[in-house]
Amino acid sequence: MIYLDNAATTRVYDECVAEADKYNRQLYFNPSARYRLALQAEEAVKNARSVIASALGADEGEIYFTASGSEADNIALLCSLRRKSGRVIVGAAEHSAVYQCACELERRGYEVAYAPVTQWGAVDIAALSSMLTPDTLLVSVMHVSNETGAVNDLKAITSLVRKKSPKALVHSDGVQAFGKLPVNVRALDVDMYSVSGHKIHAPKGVGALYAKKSVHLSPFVFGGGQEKGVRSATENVAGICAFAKAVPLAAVRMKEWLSKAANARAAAEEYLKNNIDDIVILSQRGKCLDTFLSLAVKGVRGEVLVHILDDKGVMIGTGSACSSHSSNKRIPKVLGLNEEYWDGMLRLSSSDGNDPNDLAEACKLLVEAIKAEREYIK
Amino acid sequence: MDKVILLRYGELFLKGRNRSYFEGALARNIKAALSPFDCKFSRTQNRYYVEEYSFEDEYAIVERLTKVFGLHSLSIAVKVKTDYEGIFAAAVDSAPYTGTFRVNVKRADKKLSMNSMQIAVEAGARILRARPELSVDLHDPDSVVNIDIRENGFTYIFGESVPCAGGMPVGTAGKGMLLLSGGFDSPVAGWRMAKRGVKVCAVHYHSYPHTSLQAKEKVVDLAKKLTPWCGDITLYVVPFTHIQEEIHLRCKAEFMITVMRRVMVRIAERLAEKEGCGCLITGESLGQVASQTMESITSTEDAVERLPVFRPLIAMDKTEILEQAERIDTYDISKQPFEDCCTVFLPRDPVIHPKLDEARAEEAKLEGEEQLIEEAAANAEILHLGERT
Repeated sequence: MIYLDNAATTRVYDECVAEADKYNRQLYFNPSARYRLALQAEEAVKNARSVIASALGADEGEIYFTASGSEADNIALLCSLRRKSGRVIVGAAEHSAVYQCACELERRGYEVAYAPVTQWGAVDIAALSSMLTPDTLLVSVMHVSNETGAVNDLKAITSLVRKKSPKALVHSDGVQAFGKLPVNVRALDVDMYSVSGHKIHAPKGVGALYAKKSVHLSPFVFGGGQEKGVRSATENVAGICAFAKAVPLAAVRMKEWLSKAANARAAAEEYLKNNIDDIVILSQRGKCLDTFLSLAVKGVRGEVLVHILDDKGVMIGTGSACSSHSSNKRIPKVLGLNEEYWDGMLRLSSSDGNDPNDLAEACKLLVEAIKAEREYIK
Repeated sequence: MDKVILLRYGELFLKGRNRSYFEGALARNIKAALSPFDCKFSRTQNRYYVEEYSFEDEYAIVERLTKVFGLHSLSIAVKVKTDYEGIFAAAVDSAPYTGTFRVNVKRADKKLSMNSMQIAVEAGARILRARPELSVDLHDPDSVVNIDIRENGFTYIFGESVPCAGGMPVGTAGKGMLLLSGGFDSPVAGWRMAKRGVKVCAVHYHSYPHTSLQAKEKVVDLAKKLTPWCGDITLYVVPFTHIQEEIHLRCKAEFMITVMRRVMVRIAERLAEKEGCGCLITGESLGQVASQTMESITSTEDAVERLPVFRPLIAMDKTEILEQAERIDTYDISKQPFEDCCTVFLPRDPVIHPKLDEARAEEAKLEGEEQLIEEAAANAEILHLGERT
């Protein structure tokens, strides 16, 4: 079995399974309770918070645990604005969790603008710059694109925002970057940053939002006052601790994997280009994370290719797994893809569990499958 | 005071000497519907009762029974021994809290000293004393309190009736093979035929890898959704990819759908006969899409050799079909956007009014069609779906 859909989710590290098990079965107590063992659970959450904070270069008090990266994005976009109207700018190719929040802000009366992206999926900084106004309240640009792996120059973007829109908050969806790129929220100068556990080999159901102390968040979930009242609910202690366990492990393992992934990816891209016509490599080398190889195939539906490879034991993705069920063609459109390629988007994404040969093997099968399918196109 | 669910049947009243056959089938279907519940089911002259169930199950039992074809309506009644004090106390308990009401009395037990009118007047008076905010309206009341005095020494007191599905008991009109696609129409078509007493089997054409595994799951979910009404359903999932590829390679592109549908009904007829079905059922609605023009239907029908094809939706509008799909709760499943086999190799300009001889000629280009059909039918995955599978 070859698994190349790590941008959708990853296999949970054994160490994280053990950690979660510990807090599910031995220290399963409610951290808010007042007996000794519960205090241990509370302590564990506190430690986990400090692990996530230090991985992001933030303070513990600036980390809010959530149930997912999507939830962190929702809190960032929907709970941070103090004014009832004004301008909000998001990248046109943002993940649905940000994009749909932007649509909701539009419904609530904000003026929302979508910053165009390059063909490899990074926000066009010159275009963004021209959209920034003094009354802009919020700018949200993902750190790494979930579609193509494109790395946005967040530092350049925040500098621009500070200069042209001094009142604006900057949020970045860091779900695909965290654990793969070094992240320091102070250096990047972002106000909010979303991360997720299951993209870095922790279990699903846990994420976190960094929000700078000066950012005032209104409650997203009302209740017992956990997470400083922003997101009430008994803490997912097992998930949170497993997430924190994954962070240092992923940092080491991903670094090692990335050193191998670059060559494997480059070779796979060459192989595809040399062996099949009418494909577009979306993940541009040098501009995208090497764990991503996204492409679009002319005239063949991506889903069909996924099925064919699946039958051969190779799992790959069709664009963002979160929206592959939707008939929405937002992403291929904003990437400027020719319409004949829209249904043919594929995403091969690796992580540290992969073998360097996996990509080559998958691309070989992919070329065969595309050729076979094209036989049927009249 | 015990709670009892009274069941009434509808159209069976029209039956003559074979009425007991229909009643027996209805009773069997009711029993099957009640099998997950701990309760007692009984029949006495033209009436069915469900008794001795737990209060927590009442809603689920009622909900389930409203989906048994052949039942016209039901009421949740209070059962008391036939004595005046018991009857009047239960009548007061069954009265509404607001608006106008009337008391209806049926008295099969003629041994009582008061006649129906006197009982109604007394019950009405007691209700008014207990709930002075109510008023009586004999002609157009908001609510009716029914008092049904039976000969067996018991009286049933109940308010409103809950309408049931109507129709005829499933199984009394034979068996049919439904072509189930995954869209909105075919589940509704199957439901409508089941309502006329047809036991439904289903066939689905699966075009993996051109369609997804979810597309098949969707059809399984649709079939399961029908089981409370239709009873257990045998679903044949026919691997159709190879046939589609062959059609695509050999036949004119604009005849893709025409030939595909001819092959589909041929396979369906074979499976139908294997299952002992007396008809094919499709969700076609005249003019809805290119394959449902009169000429297209003619060219599909032409490929069915022995069985009649029933098309219960033929004269229904899409909006009517969608409303029906909402009512039978298949709408949300059908609307899931998984492609079905009809969208695979879809030509840009399908022929809308195919000529029969051309359709036949195009199909004849399929080499080894008989073998393709045999293989597809033989390799079909057979799923036995019930409410609890």
